[in-house]
Amino acid sequence: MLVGLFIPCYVNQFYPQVGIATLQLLEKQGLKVEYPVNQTCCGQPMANSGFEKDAIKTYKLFVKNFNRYDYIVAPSGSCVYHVKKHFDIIEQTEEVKKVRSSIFEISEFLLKVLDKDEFNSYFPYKVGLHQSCHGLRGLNLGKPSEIIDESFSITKKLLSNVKGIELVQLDREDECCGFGGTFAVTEEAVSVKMGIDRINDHLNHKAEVITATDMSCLMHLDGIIRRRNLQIKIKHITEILNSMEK
Amino acid sequence: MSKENILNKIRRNKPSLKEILGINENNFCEKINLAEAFTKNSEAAGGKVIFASGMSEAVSIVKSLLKDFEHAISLADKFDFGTIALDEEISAKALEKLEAAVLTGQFGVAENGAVWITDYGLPHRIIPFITQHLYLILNEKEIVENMHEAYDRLSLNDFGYGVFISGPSKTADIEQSLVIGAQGPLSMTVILFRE
Amino acid sequence: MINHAEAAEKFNRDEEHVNWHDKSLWLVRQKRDAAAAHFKGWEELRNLASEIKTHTLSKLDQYLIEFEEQAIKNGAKVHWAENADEHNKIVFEILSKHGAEKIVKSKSMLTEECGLNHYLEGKGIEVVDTDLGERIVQLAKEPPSHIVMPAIHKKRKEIDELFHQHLKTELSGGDEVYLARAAREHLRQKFLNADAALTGANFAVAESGTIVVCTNEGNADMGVHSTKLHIASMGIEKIIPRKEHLAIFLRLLARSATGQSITSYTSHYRSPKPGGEFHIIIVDNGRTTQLGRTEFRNSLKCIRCGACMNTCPVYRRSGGHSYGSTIPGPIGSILSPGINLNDYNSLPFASSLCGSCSDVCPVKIDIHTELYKWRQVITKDLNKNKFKKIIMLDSGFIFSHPLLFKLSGRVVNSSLKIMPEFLKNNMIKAWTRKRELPRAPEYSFQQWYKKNRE
Repeated sequence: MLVGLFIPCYVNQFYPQVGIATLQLLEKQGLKVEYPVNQTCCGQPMANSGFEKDAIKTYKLFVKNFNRYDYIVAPSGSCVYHVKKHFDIIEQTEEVKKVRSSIFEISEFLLKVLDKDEFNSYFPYKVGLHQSCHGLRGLNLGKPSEIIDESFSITKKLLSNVKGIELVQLDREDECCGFGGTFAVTEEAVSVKMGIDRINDHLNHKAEVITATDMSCLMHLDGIIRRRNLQIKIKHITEILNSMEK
Repeated sequence: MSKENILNKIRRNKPSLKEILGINENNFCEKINLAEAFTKNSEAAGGKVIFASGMSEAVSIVKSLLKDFEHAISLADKFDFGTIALDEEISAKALEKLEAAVLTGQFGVAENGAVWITDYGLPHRIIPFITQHLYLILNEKEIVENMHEAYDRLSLNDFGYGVFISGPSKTADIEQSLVIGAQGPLSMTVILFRE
Repeated sequence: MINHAEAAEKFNRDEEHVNWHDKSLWLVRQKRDAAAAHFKGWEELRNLASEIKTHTLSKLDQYLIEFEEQAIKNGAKVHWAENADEHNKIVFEILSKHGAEKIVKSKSMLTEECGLNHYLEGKGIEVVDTDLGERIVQLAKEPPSHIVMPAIHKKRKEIDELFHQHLKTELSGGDEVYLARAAREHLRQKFLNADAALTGANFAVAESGTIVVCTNEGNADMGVHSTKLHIASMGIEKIIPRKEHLAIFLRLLARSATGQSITSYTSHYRSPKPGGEFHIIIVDNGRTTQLGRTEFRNSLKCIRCGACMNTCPVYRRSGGHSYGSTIPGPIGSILSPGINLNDYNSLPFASSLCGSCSDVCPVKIDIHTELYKWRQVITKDLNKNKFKKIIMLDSGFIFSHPLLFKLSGRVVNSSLKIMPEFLKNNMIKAWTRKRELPRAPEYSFQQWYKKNRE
């Protein structure tokens, strides 16, 4: 099985440790993983801002870079969702269809494709899980609170097997953090308020670390945390799953 | 003219025909105690439920409830009563002083505590609304489980006006604080009798 | 032209008020969750409701004709209005014929959309909104901020003062029972002295020509039965085929709206009262155009429950008035651009696209997808460059060319280690007003990969 690793643009630039954790987690499962170095972006920033047409070149480049892999795995629910849902505006060639059906967010890939939920991870902290919207509602990584059905959560399942971890119960278990791409700057006031409210929920339940499937949510929350000198840290879910007892 | 313009525009713009789905009511069936659920849901809606062992007890309960009111009427089966003369010419204004009204509910709905009544035999449609207190007599056997069964049971062609009443009038428009008694009745009581 | 972000920023200057507003609406969302989980088959009901609406839209012309035929048989008079002006004129003509000067009105978002109150008042007619929330905002000379809870933005003290001024009540510190009782007395006098009653319609049943109206306060019925003349205004999309469909929609409506299993009153108006008249006005006002927009026609399925507003994290923190449209919130943000793209082009951007609106929608309108699609339309139809500046994004080129992308990465890493070049100055300004920028690391993932794996 050959896996193509997609590292979202902002993760590449700002959070290389998340890319490394993702790669190492996959390699530990005995997989052959490649990172196509010509990769750029999934096109979501342009498309969500209303410039879907301008993103077509990016979409095509993405397909070119990734169509040769059995699976494409990324540490982001949002980018994966974008490829699955919004690459519908380009011609649906075999390559495009293959890319759209074989791309996975990392935690879903681990649990659903590899059928693994235990990684010998160790993370002795109180952790609050932020359920990033595109992973939760777009990729069905869990049951959103507003859907009336049996409860499940892929991310909770994986985290609950981490040694030493204590997952805190939040008041609002899946409210949006307010990042939303360009929304974070075009609707700055509401975006920040949403972020503050999320962080307070985690703080009120004594979380030491906020984790999520999407670094973009965490980048936004961390920006607020550091500005306000709050006593809470952010970690991507792969960083926690890749943490070992020393 | 406008009618044709609207209809023509719809014809031009509507999606292609999509067949309608049937409703499988069995999917919504739950084995619940109908009177119990009705009572619980009526109370949740702000109503009150009083049990009577039979029709005659229901009537005597209502009689005792009405004796405190100066202006009360009953249009219930087997209990005609009124301190206001009800003729066909009666106006809404003349009913303003009405304190209590008793009506027979045709049937009740367990899932939400609603009771179905129509204008059949009602001298004025405003009676259930203008009265300060509303009493509905309902036979326990006449409770259906849910709204699917409710609409199976009624015909939309049998009345000029019909209404499901599930409780007293109420509002939460001031800071979401519930106040029982808005523009309609201040209270609603169902007298549930067993035959 | 509405600028949602600007209005939202103003709303956010009073954080305590935002917290209060957010919590009030979140409570309603929680009530909705509990009510929906209380019985068997919620998600199946949503599917059915959505499919019934799809079917109805595909035969809308036939169902409207059937409805009209039945309504006429029942003794009602049916009118058709292509737009708001025509609707308002029809209402005025009917009122004039009866010499009606005092009107009581129950809640109707359609008449808000048509600006009916303003129009009739201009003709010297007294229009009293009789839903308490609507009466409150009417006295305050404000539009409703929510379609189910019109005065959800008002604090009890404001209402106290408003009633003191207009209804001559004592100042009570905002005692809700006292205020609601005062409104009750005030409105009951208005009902009994009115010449005509106006209502909207929650549903119109084609097979029987019946109009169904849901209220908790009993105000629609108090008005309709007090007067000889009832005028009901309905959008063309209110049609449902048969009575069994009422069961589906009524089970969903109140639970989605307020978490009640049903409203206190679900009134079925079929024929006029003895000696009275019953008029029904069927209104288009842009709906047929929306029907022709394949990507947006599902918005016409809306049953006006307001659940998308209660769940929307942006609505809860920006208030209904920030949308500047008759229907606010997520559903308003996909309906309003269809009415006036220029005025409402900021609304589809007033969303983080979290998707919760689509999940709560009882008729499964894919609201967040329509928001995304309106964004594509807006940038195409409007002056593109100007709009790019408005939304402050110009990164398309960099992302689509790997070389440039790498270049910008290198620039970042060598120059002050702050930001990639694609985040323009104004973006940085907006980001950093209340947030820190991410710290630029020593190396990018790509650099690490090349060094360690290649």
